[in-house]
Amino acid sequence: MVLGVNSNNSCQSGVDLIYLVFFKDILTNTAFLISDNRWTGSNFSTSEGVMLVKRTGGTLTAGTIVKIDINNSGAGTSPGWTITKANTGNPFNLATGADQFLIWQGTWNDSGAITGSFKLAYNTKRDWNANPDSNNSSLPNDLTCFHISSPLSNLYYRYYQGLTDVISQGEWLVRILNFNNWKNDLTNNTTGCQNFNAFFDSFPTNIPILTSIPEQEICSGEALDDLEVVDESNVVEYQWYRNTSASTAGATPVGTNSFSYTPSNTLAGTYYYYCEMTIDLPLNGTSNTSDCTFTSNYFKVTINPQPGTSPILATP
Amino acid sequence: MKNSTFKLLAALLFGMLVYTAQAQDQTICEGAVKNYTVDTEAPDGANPDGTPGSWYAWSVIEPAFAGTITAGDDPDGAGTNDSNQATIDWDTTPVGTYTVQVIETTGTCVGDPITFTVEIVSGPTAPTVIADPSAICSGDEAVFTITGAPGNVVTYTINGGAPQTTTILGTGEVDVVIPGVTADQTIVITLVATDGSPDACTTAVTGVTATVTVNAAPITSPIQAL
Repeated sequence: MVLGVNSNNSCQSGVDLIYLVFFKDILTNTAFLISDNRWTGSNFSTSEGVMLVKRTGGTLTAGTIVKIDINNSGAGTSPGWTITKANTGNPFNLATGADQFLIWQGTWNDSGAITGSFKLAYNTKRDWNANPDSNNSSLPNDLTCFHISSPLSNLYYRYYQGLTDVISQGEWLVRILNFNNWKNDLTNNTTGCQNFNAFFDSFPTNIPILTSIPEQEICSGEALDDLEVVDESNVVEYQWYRNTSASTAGATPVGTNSFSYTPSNTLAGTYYYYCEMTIDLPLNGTSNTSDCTFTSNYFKVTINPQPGTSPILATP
Repeated sequence: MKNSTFKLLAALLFGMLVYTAQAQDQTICEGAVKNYTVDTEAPDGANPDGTPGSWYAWSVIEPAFAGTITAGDDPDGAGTNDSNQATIDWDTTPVGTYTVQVIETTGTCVGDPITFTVEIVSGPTAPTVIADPSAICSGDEAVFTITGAPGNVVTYTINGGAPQTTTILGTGEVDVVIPGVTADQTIVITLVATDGSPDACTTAVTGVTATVTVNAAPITSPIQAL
């Protein structure tokens, strides 16, 4: 996922800065491709650049923020990575007027054909379209729920400035995909660029991703803490579920319309709760409230029954 | 009957029922040894461990309790005196009303206390005995009158013989009659019980005794003609 893009580095001419974060550990030799070419819907155009980004350092822990510098001659740098130009044509260079980039894992062919799967899309402006120019691109269907698009017109500098407390992967996606959590109004000048850089200088080097299952165990009738997920303005529906195992299969819907849920404190047994968060991720200025649902981690709740003792009997 | 009257009677009846339920569950004698159990029937569990996964803490709430509680080990609990069965030796616990309490624990969950009320009563008061009359002539019957609480069963011996028993009548007295005695008769009362049941409370008795003195009949010489 993208956390920040500087598409017009007034502080360092000709360099694009992209801040990425991964939700799983990145092993050595893991690679992905990034291109600012236009996606036509079935392949790429070939007038712009493609970069191969490969992990050469040790395993990168999930949540670590990676800063990628790519200059307009097609050379890239990032500690622990090799970034090389993967096409024979023009270099990767985000256009200051408006541009998009797509990230995928797979292969690139100079004809514009690719293999693999898309992971992420970023747009310095609001709309995705197939206009045949270098300032536009279609959005791959796979990325309807994984694109960062500006809510306004072309923005040179944008970054995530929301909360950074520890939450699950699903909640992080909800947060990052909420454009209200982004800095969208930096002025296109050196000061704006400096503000962008200053922000990341003080930003954590990683975002904490909750991987464990929070547990609560009580005796029937005792107090339980409410279960909570992120309270984000882009969420249009919270649907809580309960299951007898750490699985979504066969789960029972138990509560809606709130980022918090108060589980039963008398339902004896061990239960796993989770929340599905459906967000509004606008596409081309149109609200999209039906396609994008993200799931929280499980919350384990164990209710032990209170002993039920029979009356005392006096025996001979 | 007015509805309000019916409600009042119902409330009174309920109150009586509650009062009845709160009365003592068991009456025992001083020094008795008694057994108590919980959770011995399905689905709570079987002997000797009670509910699977549970263990039990037995106590007698009142500070005056001066006995001992032996419950044995429930393997579900960490203790060695935590089974679902307890034997309480009330020992020297004084007369009064006591509350046996058991608290069941399952895992980290502690159940509500379950209580059982025990009333300890004292043994019967020692009876008295008199010889009535205290002297008789040889060949007459000796009569001892024992006075005590109606229903009490008195154990006694006559002249050191085998122990015998008699029950004090509703009048508060009972006579022990020994016909045709020719020698002194001494009764010694050794024990008194509240009744004849096996669970009756008893009191050992000492120093309660009486004797009928038997006088020889006068011997008169034959009449002689002067």
